[in-house]
Amino acid sequence: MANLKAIRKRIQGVRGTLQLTRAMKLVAAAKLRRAQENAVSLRPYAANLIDVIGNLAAKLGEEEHPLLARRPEKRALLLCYTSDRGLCGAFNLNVGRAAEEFFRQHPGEGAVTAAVIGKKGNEYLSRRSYPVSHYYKDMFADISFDRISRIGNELTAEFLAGDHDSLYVLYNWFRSAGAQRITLKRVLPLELPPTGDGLVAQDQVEHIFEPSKRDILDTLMPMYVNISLYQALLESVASEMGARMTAMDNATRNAGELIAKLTLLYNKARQDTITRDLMDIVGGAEALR
Amino acid sequence: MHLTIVTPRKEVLSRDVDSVTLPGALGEMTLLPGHASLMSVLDVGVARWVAGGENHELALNRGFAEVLKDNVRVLVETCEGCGEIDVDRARKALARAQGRLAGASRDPSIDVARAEYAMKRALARLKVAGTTEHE
Repeated sequence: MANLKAIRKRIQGVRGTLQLTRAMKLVAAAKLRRAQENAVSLRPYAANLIDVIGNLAAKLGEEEHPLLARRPEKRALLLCYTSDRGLCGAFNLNVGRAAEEFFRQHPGEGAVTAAVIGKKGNEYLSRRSYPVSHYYKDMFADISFDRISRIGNELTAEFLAGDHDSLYVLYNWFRSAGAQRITLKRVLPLELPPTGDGLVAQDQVEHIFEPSKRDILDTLMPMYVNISLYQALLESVASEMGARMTAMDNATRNAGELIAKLTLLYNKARQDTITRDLMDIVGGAEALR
Repeated sequence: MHLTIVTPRKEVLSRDVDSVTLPGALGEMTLLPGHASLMSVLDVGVARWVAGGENHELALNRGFAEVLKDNVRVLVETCEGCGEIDVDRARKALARAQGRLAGASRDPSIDVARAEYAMKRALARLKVAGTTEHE
């Protein structure tokens, strides 16, 4: 049969793909482990910070700090966390879709502007001509708190200057390697946790503040904003690796199945040729008698 | 009295202590059991605590402390014990910062606050590294 060669070529091609996806899966798995560690090791800090702010919040009004002040939400800034690279399943698509949904819920010219981390999100939104005011590139080679703090400080300064009235983060929350959940959270103005760890309720005595309550708020509030952004980044990176690992695992399995099918086809075709050749020989011998 | 020190990277410490000394923004303060509730901004400096008769030290970067019902919580950007400090690097950083501060009156482009911050950080590191070196 003429297509024997074609099938063989096809098998070789699929085998190449399989090797590639398997390698990508292994790389993603290794990176996932690190990303997960990072995300998990931030949690005690974040939890403590939220407790402290909660304890403070029990004695605090909205008017006490500009980062707490709610004003009519005319312009919202939506910070979307995506990845620079593809081949990670629906990871980026889910963020893009959720961002579009957010735009739909806030109609009106300039009601929402997007800020994007990651090339894929920028491509997705720009191609559909949504306004993207900030685009942060090359975030993933060196994921550091310093870097995200600079972004946080920039966005906070814009909030204070009135460029936008609120700041939201949109990211994939890491549940497990196989499951990511799209999460939307308001960061500014700050939503204070109801109360900290409950210790403050029994504590009637006024705190001592050093140097002053205002100084403490000035330290804590921006820290809280930056930690929120950082945590979203770490969750997003872990999710990306999880999504890629799962996608590449599926691709590897599909390639394996395809190879098995093609091999069967190939063997059948080969058997057909042999049978036909035999028939020819037998027929030829018969004719000679 | 329970002391917890956390950074964005990890929970550095969580244990019972007899007393703790922190670099508060208004100056060094020593906390003993039964201290009043307190919230304080922390400067760059050295945190010291006594537990079971032993002294311990850590070099702290800027941060924040809360005292509530004999629970001391320290939140800092980074902190280092004596084993983690690169003494050479700290010495160089100190010399560089001092040089920049000395030149600040002539060169207005020098960021004095940043140089002071770098100097304090280097000093804290050297202090923590130094005490164990000469013991």
